[in-house]
Amino acid sequence: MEYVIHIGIVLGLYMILVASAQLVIGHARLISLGQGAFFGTGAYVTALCMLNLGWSFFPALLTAVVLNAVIGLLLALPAVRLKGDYFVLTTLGFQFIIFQLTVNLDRLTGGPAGLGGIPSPSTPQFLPISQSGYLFVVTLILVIIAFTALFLLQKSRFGRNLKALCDHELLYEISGRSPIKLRAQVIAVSAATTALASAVYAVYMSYLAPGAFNLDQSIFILTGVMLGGLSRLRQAVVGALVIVLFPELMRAMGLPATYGPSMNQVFFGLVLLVLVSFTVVKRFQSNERRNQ
Amino acid sequence: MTEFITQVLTNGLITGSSIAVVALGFSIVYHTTRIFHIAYAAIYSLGGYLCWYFDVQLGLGIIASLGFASFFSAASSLLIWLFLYKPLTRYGAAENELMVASVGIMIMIIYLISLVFGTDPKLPGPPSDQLLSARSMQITINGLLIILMLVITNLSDFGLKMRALRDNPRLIERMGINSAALTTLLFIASGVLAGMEASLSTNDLGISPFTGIHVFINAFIAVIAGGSGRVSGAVIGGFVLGILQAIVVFFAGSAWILSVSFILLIAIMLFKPDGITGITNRND
Repeated sequence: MEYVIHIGIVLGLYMILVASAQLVIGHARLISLGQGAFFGTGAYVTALCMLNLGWSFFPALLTAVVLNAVIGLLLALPAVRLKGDYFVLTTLGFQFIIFQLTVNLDRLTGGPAGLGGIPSPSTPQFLPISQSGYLFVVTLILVIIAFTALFLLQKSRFGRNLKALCDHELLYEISGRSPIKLRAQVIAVSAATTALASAVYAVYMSYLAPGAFNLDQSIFILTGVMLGGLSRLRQAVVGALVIVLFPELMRAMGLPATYGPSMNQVFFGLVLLVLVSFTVVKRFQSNERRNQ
Repeated sequence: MTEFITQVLTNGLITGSSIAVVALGFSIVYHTTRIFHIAYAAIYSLGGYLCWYFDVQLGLGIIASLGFASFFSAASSLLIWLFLYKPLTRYGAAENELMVASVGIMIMIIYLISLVFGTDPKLPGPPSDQLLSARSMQITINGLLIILMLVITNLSDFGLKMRALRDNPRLIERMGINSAALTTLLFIASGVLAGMEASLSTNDLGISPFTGIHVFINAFIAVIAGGSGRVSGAVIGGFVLGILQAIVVFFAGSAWILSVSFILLIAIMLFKPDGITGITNRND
């Protein structure tokens, strides 16, 4: 039962992470290699608020969401001015900076040893469930909140603007709207929803180490987005399911611990390659057919 | 004060020339094909590991190892172009799709390296001569490579074709120049540059699987800082970044190197998006 709850929580977290990344990668067409870093900043902010300021879980979560949005905005403003390549570079750089900061600011973050003893939110008296059961419920609620927000956002004026921007950037600009502003907003929103997952991660693990938020994590999330699909929220659910359950499967098959993670990454690299090639070839063939 | 100047100058020139060579290799591919060739980072790591393997494990000596490492880097660069980018471009892949494919192959190579060699950093073998010789060899070869590349790209017929390919890939085909062959050559050259520099720097500092990504970030920042669309921009950007990093290392220690590069990147993007040499590319 505990194992099922564990998988449920991790699955919920990755559903939020993949859906947030999908907004940037799929809807704004900006390849981000920094989703793992946003995941990290959110988790560290939550943990620090709870440990150093003695706040309870929900105010800490809110702070993490707001701060992440601000960080996203700050990162986005210079990066989205130019082209897609610059954005990839900036997010990749951001990824490594956050890693270095978490390692080097050891007074604040505990350095490479990590940050331990993050308290779990106390279960309300009237709920007859265990600690992890309560966290599962919290995760579920946050997943619903994140998905509803993202869904409404895509149906709103904002979402239509985003679609217009991707379909024809020049026309969008000519109609008097700013692509830079819109892209920056998308990144801020994505960072904010990512923070929902990181807050739960912080209290669920009760221990944060820099290694959990490195490039591997970003690649992991990117693979989830590419596997599921770029446009619909339910595709994000599929992507999250695959990336969470696949390593569990590998572990169940008994791969040695030292090879496991590297093996998984090689596999994810291959998945990215094959997926892209497949999409490109399929589109080419359907274009050919239309032309005939 | 004199200590400051000599340290910053020597370290800055070595780091700068090293970034410049890597940036040159990236920029000749990036500016002509417009492919965000992030797998270049993995090619660098591969070159470094191969050099380490040939030099320290097999004991072939640094010159031979450097040659082998460059050869295999060039080969992997060529294979990635021939079997990944070229077919994808022919099937009309978008910029983003090429980028994701490149990220995929980068991850595969880097983690295959860590599967084979382990994730712990590999240190260079006991120096046969003095430590100085690794660094003086590095700076000599780097200087030669930079001059060679600048001469080729600015003065030769090949450089002219390269710029033509950058400005108008369709027109150059109509002129009877084989643009695919040209690009193939560029990928080989880029692989050789990455392999050389990786070997030289491994011989001095050692290598770990992720070194390539750090170096790649610095190199791309140098390309942007130097100026888009111009190969010599990579060299200028490389040296600016190198000196800047040397200054920061002198005052604050090496933990903050990447942060400095990043701040330079943000500053350039905000205030001088065309880079220091600043010509705007006609394709943009």
